[in-house]
Amino acid sequence: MSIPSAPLEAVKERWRTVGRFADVLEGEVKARSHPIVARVVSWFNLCRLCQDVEEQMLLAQAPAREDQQLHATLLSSAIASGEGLLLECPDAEALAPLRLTPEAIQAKLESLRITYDQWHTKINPQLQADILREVFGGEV
Amino acid sequence: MARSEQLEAILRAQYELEYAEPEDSVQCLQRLNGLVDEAIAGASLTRRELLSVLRDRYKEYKRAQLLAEARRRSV
Repeated sequence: MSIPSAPLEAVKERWRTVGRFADVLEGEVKARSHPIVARVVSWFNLCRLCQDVEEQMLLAQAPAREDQQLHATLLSSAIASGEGLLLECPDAEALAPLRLTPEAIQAKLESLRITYDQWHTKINPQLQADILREVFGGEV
Repeated sequence: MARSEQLEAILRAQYELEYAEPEDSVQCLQRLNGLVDEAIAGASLTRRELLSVLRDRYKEYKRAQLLAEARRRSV
């Protein structure tokens, strides 16, 4: 009996598309010839793409290793390009047309860093349980 | 606030930060930081360390929110 390959191929093709789209967005974020507001919008779209991949992983029965790798890569890229944007943001007024400030980018960056920690760093299960017990007592 | 309510509030605040409109993200981060600071007061932990140990709880919480949202949309 052969293993059905179509669904797996379909998933791989989907991730390839996501990867290509992420490359396009990352290129736009880094394009210094573009207005900073356009680059910031592209960056928030890149962040949304990371979130979409994560949602698919959470809803899947068991996310594949490739999915995890794609998620880690997208998050790293979004964090690095967001940090770059902040360095290039001339002043708080530059983002006024978007009704944003650089602090909004900082806040989103912090959210991405938390997500990266939670998904892609190792943790000692015993230490994790000890900390949860210390902070929240026996209720968790 | 009971500890279980405190935990639930932290998970909700992280979720709200993640899904906040960009213009609301600063306020959402401040709220999350405030709740985490309350929880770790007196413990030798950083904010990031506490959120890191909450990884499994947060994934369960987020998955439940996504499923509930999908159910609401299908009604």
